[in-house]
Amino acid sequence: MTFVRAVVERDLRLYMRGVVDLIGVWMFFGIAIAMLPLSIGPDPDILSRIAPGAAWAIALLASMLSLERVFAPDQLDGSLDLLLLHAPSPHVLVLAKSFAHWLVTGLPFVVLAPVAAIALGMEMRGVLPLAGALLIGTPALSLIGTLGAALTAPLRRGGILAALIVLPQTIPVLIFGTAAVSETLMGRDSGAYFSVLGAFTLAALALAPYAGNAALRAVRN
Amino acid sequence: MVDTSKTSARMTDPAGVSLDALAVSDLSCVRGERELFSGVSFVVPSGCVLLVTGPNGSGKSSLLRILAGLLDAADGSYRPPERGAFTRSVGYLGHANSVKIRLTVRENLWFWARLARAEPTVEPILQRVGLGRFMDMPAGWLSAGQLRRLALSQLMIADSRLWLLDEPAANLDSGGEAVLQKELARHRSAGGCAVVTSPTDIEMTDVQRFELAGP
Repeated sequence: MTFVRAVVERDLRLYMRGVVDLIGVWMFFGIAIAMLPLSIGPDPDILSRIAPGAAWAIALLASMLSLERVFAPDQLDGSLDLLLLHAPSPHVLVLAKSFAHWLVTGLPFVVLAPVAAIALGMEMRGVLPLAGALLIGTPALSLIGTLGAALTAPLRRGGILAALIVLPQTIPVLIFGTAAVSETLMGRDSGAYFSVLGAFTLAALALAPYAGNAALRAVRN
Repeated sequence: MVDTSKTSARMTDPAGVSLDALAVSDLSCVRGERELFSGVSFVVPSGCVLLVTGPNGSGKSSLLRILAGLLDAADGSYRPPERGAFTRSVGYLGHANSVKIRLTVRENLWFWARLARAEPTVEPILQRVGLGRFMDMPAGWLSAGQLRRLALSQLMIADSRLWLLDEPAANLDSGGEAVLQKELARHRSAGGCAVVTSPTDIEMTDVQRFELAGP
C-alpha cells in the first residue's frame, strides 16, 4: 500500500505541475458539450434525448486524451525501470497508474455531470443517474486506457494510437452507461444497466493488471 | 520485484556459491535476432566490484538490464545476492537518470526515499553527492552532471545490496567521480557488491574485470 500511495501521490503532483494539459482535457469535455446545442439546434426535445449518449461519448474521448501522460514520460526518463524494480509486482504499478489517471480524468467528469446536464437541457432528475453512471463506468475507461498507454509507452506521440487501440474495448461502457441514464429518464427500471456497468468495471479491475503487466513486458523486450 | 517467472533465464542456486554473491552462469542475450553475447559466467562476492568493459553495442547495458530483471535473457541463469542487512536486493542506475524535471531535487529523491522508507536520509544523501545547495531547485535547472549525481543519490537511498551501474561516470566532473568512488567504497565495506559498465577501461582499484567481445 505504501507503494500505491506513493506512486499515486507522485503522479498527482506531476499532473498538477503540468496542469495546463489537464485543463485542456477538462475544457474539451465542457467545450464539446457546449458545441452540441449550437450544431444540433436548440430544440429541447432532441437535445435532452441525446444528452446521456453525448455526455458519455465526450467523457470517453476526453479520458483518452491524456493517455500519453500515463507511462510515456516515465519510459522516456527511465523512471519506469525503477518503478518496476521497486513495485511489489508490476500489476500493482498498473493499478496505481490507472487510479491516478482516473482521479484526474474520470472523477472531474462526475463532478461536471450537472453542468453537462444543464447545457444539454436534460431533465434534472437525470443528473444523479448520469453522475452515478460516470462514477461507476469511468474507472473502466482508465483501466483499459492504461493498457493502451503501456503498449505505446516507448512511442513519441503514442496518445492517438493508444486511444485507437482501446476505444473498441470501451464500447460496452459507452452502451450500458448511456442506457442506464436514458432508461431512468424514460421512467423505466435501469438497475440492470447499472449492474452490467459495474460488472464491466470490476472485470476491468481484475484483468487490467495482468494485461498491463504483459504489455509492459512486451515493450521492454 | 519484476516478475521473472516467464524468463528463460532460470533463477537457480549454483552449487558452492555463497548466497551473499551475485552468481551468473552461461547467460546469453539476443536482441533483434542478433546474439549480443553468450556463455557469460561470473560470480561477484559480497564486497567486490566487477567492471564490465566492451565496445559500443557489445551488450553491456543489456547485461545489466537482465540482471535487474528488466529484460529477458535468451538462455542461462543468474541469482542476485540475498539482501542480508540491506533494504533491497537489487538496485539499478541506468543510462537514463529517472529524474522528473518538474519536481525539485528534494521531491525527486523524497519519492524514492519513501519507497525505501528512508525519508530522514534524503538531506544527508543530497549533501554527500554535493547537491546540498540545490535541494529546493527544480531538477530541470540542473546540469547533466548534477542530474547524474541526483540519479546516484536515488540509487544510494534505495539501500540495495547489488548495485548495477550503467556507465555511472557519464557527464560527471572529477568531483563527481570522486563522490562515485567514495560511495562505491562505502558500499563495499558495508558488504554490498556492484557490477559497473564502462566503454573504456577506467582507473579503479581492486576490481575484477570482465570484457564483452562485441559484435
